[in-house]
Amino acid sequence: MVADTSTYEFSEMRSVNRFWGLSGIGRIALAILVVLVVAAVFAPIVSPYDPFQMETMNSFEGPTLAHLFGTDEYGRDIFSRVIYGTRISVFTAALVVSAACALGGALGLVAGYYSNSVAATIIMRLIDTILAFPAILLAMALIAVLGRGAINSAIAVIVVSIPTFARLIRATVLQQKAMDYVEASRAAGASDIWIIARALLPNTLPPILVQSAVNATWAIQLEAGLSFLGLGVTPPTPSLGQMLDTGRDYLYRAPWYGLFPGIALVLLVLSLNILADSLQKRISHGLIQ
Amino acid sequence: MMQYLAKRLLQYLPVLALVSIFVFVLIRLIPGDPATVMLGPTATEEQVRLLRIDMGLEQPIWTQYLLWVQRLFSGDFGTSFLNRFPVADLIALRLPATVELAVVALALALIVAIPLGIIAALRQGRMADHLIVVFSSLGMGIPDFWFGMLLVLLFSLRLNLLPPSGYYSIVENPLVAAKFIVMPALTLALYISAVFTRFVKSSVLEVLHQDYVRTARSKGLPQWQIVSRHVLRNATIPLITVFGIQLGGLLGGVVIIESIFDWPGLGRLLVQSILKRDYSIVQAIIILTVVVYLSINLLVDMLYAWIDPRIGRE
Repeated sequence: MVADTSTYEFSEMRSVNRFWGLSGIGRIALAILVVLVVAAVFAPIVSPYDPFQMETMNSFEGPTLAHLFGTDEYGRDIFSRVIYGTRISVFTAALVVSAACALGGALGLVAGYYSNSVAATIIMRLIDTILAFPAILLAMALIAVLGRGAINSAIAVIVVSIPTFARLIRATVLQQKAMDYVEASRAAGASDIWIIARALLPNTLPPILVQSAVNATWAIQLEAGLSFLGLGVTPPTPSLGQMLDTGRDYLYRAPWYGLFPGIALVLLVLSLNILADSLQKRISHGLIQ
Repeated sequence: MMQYLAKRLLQYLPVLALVSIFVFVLIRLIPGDPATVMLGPTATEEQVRLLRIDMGLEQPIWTQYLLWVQRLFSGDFGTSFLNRFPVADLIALRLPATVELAVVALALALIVAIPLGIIAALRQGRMADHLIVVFSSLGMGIPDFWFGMLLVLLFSLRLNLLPPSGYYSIVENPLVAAKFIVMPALTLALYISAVFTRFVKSSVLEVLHQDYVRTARSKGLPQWQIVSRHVLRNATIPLITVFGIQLGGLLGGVVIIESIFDWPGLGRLLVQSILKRDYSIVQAIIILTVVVYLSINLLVDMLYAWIDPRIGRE
């Protein structure tokens, strides 16, 4: 048993030196993710057709060389729509992660650094309240108030993502705050701002990195779920979740309709998941300080 | 134990109060006057005013809140904006289907996850372990609505074995009901079983490295006895916590899966109500779910303290 784990760690360490600490599968995941993100960002250049262009004569065409993923009920090119749908997923994930990280991080910093203040108590109660809801339910409640749409569903996903970041940062800050080096900086006359910015923040980065990857997969799935339920991105804008919803209605006539958006979604989520795992392993091996 | 229960309850109550205020305010933030929405565009001003008084909307907001809470306690969830049915009746009608689905899915998930997790832990680093890890990664990465669709494609459209959607009461005809519940339950179970498998594996691994397992092994106890007597029992504790955490995912998953399979449960009702702007139903379902969610978490805490008495005494 013991010998097993040590050789495992050894091979893990070796691959770290070779390629950013990613194992074989981690590298494949990264490659897939890069392809998907590049396709999403450069969607207008990459996609062979206009995703909105209807050709009702060619509706429900199976996959051909002209239309790799076939066409939908209006004769729109599904391949192009999957690329644009991936774009919505990727942009939502980026927006959600950065906003939730900034907001949750700020709340967590205050709650952790001034842990005995009234502000900390209020923040933590608020966080508890958000966590009392199953995430998708709170997101749905927020959408009920805000109305449907891409931006509103992103806002809803941001709100439900804040608690994890806030808790994570608070825990890290609490732990770091008790360390000697913080005490020493304070004794040397460092201000709170200096301690937070120069000493505490850099130490919260590794866990934030992992949490960001985890949160991105989560945001993508939640957004797709909301769009699938008809509460997110509204047609005709293509989103993966909404394409799956429509594809479900034509499952018999055009099975490829629901198949390809699903594959894109699975690839996106799986590659991010694997990447998050690899990062987590690397950090727990103490390779990011 | 009772002291611990009281302490926990005291922690949950403020959260519940905050949640109720939150839900109440949230629904009030929706643009448009509920009375006007309820009566439709043809109503006169006088009718709207009378209904507003009737609904208590003319009173100060705090009185309205307290009244609302008071009514909740007596089981009065208001009436549907659209068809004027009591919300409590609508919920009672839909609740059994959701509970059935959740229970069957949970049972399926446990049946799959516990053996897989144990096998993965005992055969760590070997083929079986790798395959199980792949299963759990896929299970967590595949969106449930897509998986459900694949099941329909295979079992309903290609093989013609199962109905693609719908519901049949388990009381009336269990055999037919089983045919309807298989695919929704499998879909719901996929993600949970993937997560559980992971946790069973890691908690079994942890226990396997304990001294008492080594002692048992050096005593010459056969493997199955070590696993069933020492490992499983101790590995259950972290699992219960995971269950509490995953419950949110289960409740959320129900919403989506009910929509895929036209399952006539609470999740479907919630989505329909949001789309139709029937806010009294939205409000009731959300507050009810949170109460259930928090109660089960409380129950999990209790169970935890009961299994490991050290926790209660702290």
